[in-house]
Amino acid sequence: MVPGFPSTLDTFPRGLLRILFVLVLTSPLLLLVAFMGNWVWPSLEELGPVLYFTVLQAFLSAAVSVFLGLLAGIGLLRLKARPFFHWLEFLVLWPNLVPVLMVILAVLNLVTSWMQFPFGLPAIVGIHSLLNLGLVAVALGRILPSRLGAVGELAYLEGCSAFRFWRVTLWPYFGRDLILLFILVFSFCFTSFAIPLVVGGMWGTTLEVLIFQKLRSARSWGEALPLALLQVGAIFALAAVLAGRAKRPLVEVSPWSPVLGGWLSPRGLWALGLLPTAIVLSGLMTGLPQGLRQWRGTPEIHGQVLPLMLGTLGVGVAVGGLVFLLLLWLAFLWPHRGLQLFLRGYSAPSTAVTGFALLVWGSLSDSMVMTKIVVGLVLIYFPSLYRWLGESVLSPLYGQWQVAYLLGASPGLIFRRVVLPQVAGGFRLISGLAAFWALGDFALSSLLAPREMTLAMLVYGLMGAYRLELATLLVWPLLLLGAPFLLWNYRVFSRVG
Amino acid sequence: MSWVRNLHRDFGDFHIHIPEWEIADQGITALVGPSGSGKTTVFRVLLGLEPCPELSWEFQGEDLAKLPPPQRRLGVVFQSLELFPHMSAEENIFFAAEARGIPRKRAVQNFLELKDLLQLTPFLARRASVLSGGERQRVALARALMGEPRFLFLDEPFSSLDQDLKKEARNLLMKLMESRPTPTLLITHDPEDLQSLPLQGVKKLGGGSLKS
Repeated sequence: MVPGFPSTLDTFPRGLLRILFVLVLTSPLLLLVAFMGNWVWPSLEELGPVLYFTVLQAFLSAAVSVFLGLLAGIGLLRLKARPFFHWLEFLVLWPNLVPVLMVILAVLNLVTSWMQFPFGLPAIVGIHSLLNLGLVAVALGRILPSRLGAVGELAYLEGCSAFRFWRVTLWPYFGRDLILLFILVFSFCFTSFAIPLVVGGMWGTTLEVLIFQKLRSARSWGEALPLALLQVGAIFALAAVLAGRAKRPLVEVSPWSPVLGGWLSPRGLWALGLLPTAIVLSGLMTGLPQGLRQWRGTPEIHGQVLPLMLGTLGVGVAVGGLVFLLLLWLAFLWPHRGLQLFLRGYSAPSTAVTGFALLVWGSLSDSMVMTKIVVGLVLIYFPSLYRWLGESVLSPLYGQWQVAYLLGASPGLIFRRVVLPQVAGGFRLISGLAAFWALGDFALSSLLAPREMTLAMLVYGLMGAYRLELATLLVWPLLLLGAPFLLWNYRVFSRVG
Repeated sequence: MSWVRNLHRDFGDFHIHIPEWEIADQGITALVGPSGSGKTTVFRVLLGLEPCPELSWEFQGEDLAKLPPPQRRLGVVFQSLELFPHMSAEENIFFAAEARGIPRKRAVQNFLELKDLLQLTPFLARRASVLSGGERQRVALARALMGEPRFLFLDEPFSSLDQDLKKEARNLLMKLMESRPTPTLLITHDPEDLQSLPLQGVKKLGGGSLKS
């Protein structure tokens, strides 16, 4: 049940603030609707194959991610009782935490050092799976023991074999979770932009890339509009399925028995969860010496790096700050049933759609473009960050909120004395994660900026010019800027799930 | 006496209907019934956390049901206690006075009285998150009474305590009732509560309808 006080706290200023909050989050869609008069339907010959490819790559990516993630999740059970388990989870999740640009670059580097890069479907599915495997593994590593309850212990004591146990329980106990995770990963991949854009190749055009092409290359806004609305409709439908089905609560079982983990989980399977991290890290190391040589040979770039790095930092800090402010705004309005339902079901419009909406607003001056990049990234990141982490920071406070309210405390007093001191740490961490993602954004930035304004855009440009080693070298400052934050704040990720 | 009328909640396959119910305006009234009989729902309706537009709750010439929940001035101890873990025991208790806008002088007077009565001194400075079950119980009770409530609502307050602590908690409650006679509504399914506490009335819920 989504808690909330629908009537008594609906005072005028709070109601107005709530409406404003929703308007801010949905502003890209509202801007799109404002342009509805100009649309032109693209031909079915063009749209059909693109839709087919979009669904196919998302389906295959989700299937591979969930299958491998399930194996890795079962593998993680063996080490669940160990004191370093939080660190292990952090390492498994690591590819999800770093900007997607780094993952793409690492894979490109690693694969091209062995063979010709397989642009198109295999590359898209491979990188999507690499990104989502860890997320699925960590989620399932938490869901499995919670759903099993004492059944696992009972089966173990009665002498059941682990294989037979999984065969009998897997689908009846976890089928629903697997389907939900499949839909979740499918929706990520359906709207993924940066990956198909870079590794899709000639035949790997997804709906998101098509919107980008219509906007960027063809400048055909009228054609981009119905495509964008089609995509938004699909995301909302998937989000509604997720929001409607994610109801069944988990049962707490603690402590998790190491004996049970050893029985249920084949030896060494946990290493599968670390494979994406190993691939990304080794990919980022590959080509570094070559990158250094290229750096020495391209003095024209040296002068650009520092200003671009400052621009990147500016974007990161501004995105982090704005996400923090939005979270505080939400915490002040929380709990409210309608708002919580909206946030559970609302998925941000994709990068191309947000970029399109922001393109039509304001001028092309540097400060305006930077502002639009920051606003766009905040609007894209906020809904998923809220669902992923924000809700789990706020929801444990519901009972305390209720007591404070019944004791007669005003919403302001509750926010100041009860909510804020307990959520500030978690919100800071979420904002830091948003800032880190923003450091590595090149997709929205390339859409909005007429020239290179951040380090990630320069890296993207170098990738396009096949100077992968130099691009890899320049990605390390981004990683090093974000690394202390990730290591310091790893505990927040223990709340995922 | 206070009168509750037209308490009604319909959940489709389960409904609660209490046409009229008399709650004592002093001492303890117990609301009992098996699991799933709707005790907590009745409790939440009276607190104002569940909607019930037809409800009237007459107390000292006022219809409490027409007031927003905070203005009903009810003290509440939930089963989960819901102390604020980042505050000390003392801060938890004083929060209730701050929430009600009780003047500092009177709040301190109330606090000193509750501190002696509930033997809070040894752990007042400790954070709520590190208190034991019995200590947390006493802090929650003090916090509920600190705001000078019209009624005290206790939702299975002893259920998480072991036998010895339960006995001690019941004795504390009785002592509290003697020195601060706040009318109290107690939800319980423990027969020992019914036997050992001096109850002014007992209401049984079962099968979705109220029986005396």
